[in-house]
Amino acid sequence: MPLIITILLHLTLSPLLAASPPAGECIPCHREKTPHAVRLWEESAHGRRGIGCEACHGTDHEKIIGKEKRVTHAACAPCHRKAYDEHLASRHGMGLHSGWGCTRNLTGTDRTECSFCHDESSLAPKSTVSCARFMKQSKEMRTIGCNGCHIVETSCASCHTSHLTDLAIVRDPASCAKCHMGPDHPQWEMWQTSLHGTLYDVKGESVAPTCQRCHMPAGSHDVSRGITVTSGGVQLPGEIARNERERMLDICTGCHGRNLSMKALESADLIREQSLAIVKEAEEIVWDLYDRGVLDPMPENRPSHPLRGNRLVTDSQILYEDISHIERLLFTMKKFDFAKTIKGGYHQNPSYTHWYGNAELKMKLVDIRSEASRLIRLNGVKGSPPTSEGELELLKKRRERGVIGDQEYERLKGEILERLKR
Amino acid sequence: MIQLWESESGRRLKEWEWNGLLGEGLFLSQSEIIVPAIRLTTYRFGTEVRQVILRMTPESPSPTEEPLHTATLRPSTYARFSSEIQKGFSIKLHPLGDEILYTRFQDPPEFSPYRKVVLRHLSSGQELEAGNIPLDAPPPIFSGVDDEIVTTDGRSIVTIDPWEGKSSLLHPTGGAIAFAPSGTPRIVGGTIILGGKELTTLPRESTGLFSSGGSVLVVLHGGTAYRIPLTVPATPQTTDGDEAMKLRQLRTLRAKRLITPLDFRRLSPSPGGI
Repeated sequence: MPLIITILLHLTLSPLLAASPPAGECIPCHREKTPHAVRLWEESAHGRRGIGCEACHGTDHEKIIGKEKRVTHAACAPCHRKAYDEHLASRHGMGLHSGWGCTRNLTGTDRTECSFCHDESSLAPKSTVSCARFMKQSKEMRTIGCNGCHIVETSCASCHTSHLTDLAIVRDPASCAKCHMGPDHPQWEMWQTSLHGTLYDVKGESVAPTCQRCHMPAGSHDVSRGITVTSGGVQLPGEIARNERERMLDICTGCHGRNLSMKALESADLIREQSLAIVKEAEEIVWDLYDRGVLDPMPENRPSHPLRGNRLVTDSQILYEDISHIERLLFTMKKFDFAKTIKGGYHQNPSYTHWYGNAELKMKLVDIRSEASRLIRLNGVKGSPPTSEGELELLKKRRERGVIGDQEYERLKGEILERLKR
Repeated sequence: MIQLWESESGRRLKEWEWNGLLGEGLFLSQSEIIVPAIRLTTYRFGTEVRQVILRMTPESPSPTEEPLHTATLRPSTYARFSSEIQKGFSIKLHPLGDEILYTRFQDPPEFSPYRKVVLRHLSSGQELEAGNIPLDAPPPIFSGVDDEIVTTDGRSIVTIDPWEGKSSLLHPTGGAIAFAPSGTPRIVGGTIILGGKELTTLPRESTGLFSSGGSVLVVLHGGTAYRIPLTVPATPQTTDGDEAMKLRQLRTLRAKRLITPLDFRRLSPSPGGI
C-alpha cells in the first residue's frame, strides 16, 4: 500500500516538479530575508513533499519583487481542482465581482490591483461589475478595507494563510471572523453568542456546529450551500431555493428533528419578508422626497455617484458618503440593520434578530418619517404639492418607479383631473 | 448683431453681438425677446449646424442660448442647400404664446436630407415631433385650431394634428399659405379665404402676412408690399383672461405628458379652438 501511495503522489506532483527549479535555489537567500516564511513552508505539507517556492510564485524574480506576480487561486487549481471548482461556484468565488470596479482612473491607483480583473497584457476585464463604495475609497482604504476581504475570490491564502497548510486554521470559526463580523454582516458574533457558539465554546465541536460544519460540510468549498436568499436578502427563484433549503435541512437534521428545523428556518423566512417591507417603505419615502426635490442636498448639488452620476441611488450601489442625512439613515437600514435581522434569524440569535436588527430597522423608519416631515415642512410649497401639476408629476414618477400600477395611476389621476375641472 | 429699437421715437434701445446666422425674432411679452439662430462649423466630413434660441430682455447684458438641435450635414447636402441654410430657420409663436413651431435640419446616412417639424413648449422645453418636410420647403405655420400645423412641400398643402399624429390634405397644389392667428382669414394655395368664401387669388410667387387680428393682409409681390384691409367678423378673444390661462395650464400638462391628448380635449374650455 505505501508503494501505491508514493507512486500516485509522484504522478500528481510530477508536472509541477518538472516545471519548477528546485526550492533550494530560493531557500538560502530567503532563510535570511524572510526566515518566517521559509520556516512555515518547511513545516507545511508543501514543504514536506518538496513543492518548491517556484510552483506557486513562478520563476521571474523581477515580477515577484514588483508584486506583478501575485499568487492567485490559479496556482492552487492544478492540484486542488475539486476545492477550486467548488470555490468558484460559491459566493466566495465572486468576492471581487460583487465588490469591485476599475481603479485605473482613480487617484493613487495600485497597479497590482489590475490583475484582479485583467489577465496580463489584456485590456478586456474579466469582471465588469463595479462597486460604487469601493470607487469612493482612497488607495489605502481600498487595499485594507475592501480588498482585504473581497480578494477571497482569487486568493486561497485569504483563508488558508500564505505558507501554512494546517487545516486546523481553516476549520476554526475564527478564520471566518476576519470578514464575517462587524456592522454589515456579523455572522461570527451571532454564531458565537448563540447557543451553538456557547456549546462549542464549552463542549467543543463534538456537541455544537461551527461555521464550517453548516456552510462547508464535509470539507466542501461551496460556502453558498443551503442558502436560499441573495446577499441582498431577496429570495432565490423557487426551484433553486427549494433545493438549497433541502440541503440545509440535511445538515440541521444531523442534530435536530426535521419539523423543528423546518419551522426555525421558515420563521426566519417570514422575519426576512417583514423586514424587507420596512426597508421598502423607508426607500419609498426617500424617493418621494427626491421627486419633490427636497433632499438636502439633492444629487445634482453634491459629488456625483461614481457609477450613476447625479442621480438618487438606493439599490445595492447606495453610498454612505456624499449623500443627504435621510439617505444615510436608509443606508444603515439596508446594509446593517436588515442584514443583522435576517442573518440573526437564520443563525437563531435572539438579540441580533430583535434588538440589533429589527428594533433598529423600526426606529430608523421612525427617524426617516420624521426627517421627511421636517424636509417637507422646511421646503413649504416645494415640498407639498398643492398644484395639480405638482401632484400629477409626483404620480407619474411613482408609476414610472413601479410604486403604483396603471390602474391605480389612472384612478388617482382621474381624481386630480376632476378637481382641475371644477 | 441684434438691435432693439423703440418704434415710436426711433431710438435704439439696446444692441447685442452674436456670431452666427440670425432668424426673425419674436416678442414673447412686452420685454422678452426670442431669436432663432444658427452656428455653422465646417469640418472635412461635413458642416455642423447648431440651432439655438437666443433669449433676452432689454436689460440682458448678452443673449442666453437655449440649444435646440445639432446636425452634421454631408458636404454634398450643404453644397446643394447652402442658400436655404444661410437664411437661418424660422420660429412661429403659438397665439397663446406658450409654444413655438420650428424645423430641425436632418441628414441621415443613406436617406435624403429633410427637416423635422417640431412643436416646443417654451417653459418646460418639452418637444413633440410632428412630421417631416423637404429641406427647401417653406416653414410650417399654426392654423389657429389648437396646435394644428399647416405644412407644404411645394406640391400640396396638408394640416397635421401633432397630438393625434393625423394629417389631412388641405389643398391639392402648392402656393402661398398664411393664416391669421385665429385661423381665419387665411391664404391657402394662393387664394384668400374669409369666412369660408374664396375672395381672390394672389399672383404666383407672392406671399402674404396677416396682422394679429386678421384685419390687415400684407402681400409681398415683386419687391413691393401691398396693404389690404379686410372686414373680419368679430371673434371672441381667447388669448387672454381666465379661459386662456386655463388653456395654457392644460397645454403645459399635455406638453409634460402629465395628461393625454384625450384628457386635454375633455378638460379644454374651448375644445379645438384657441
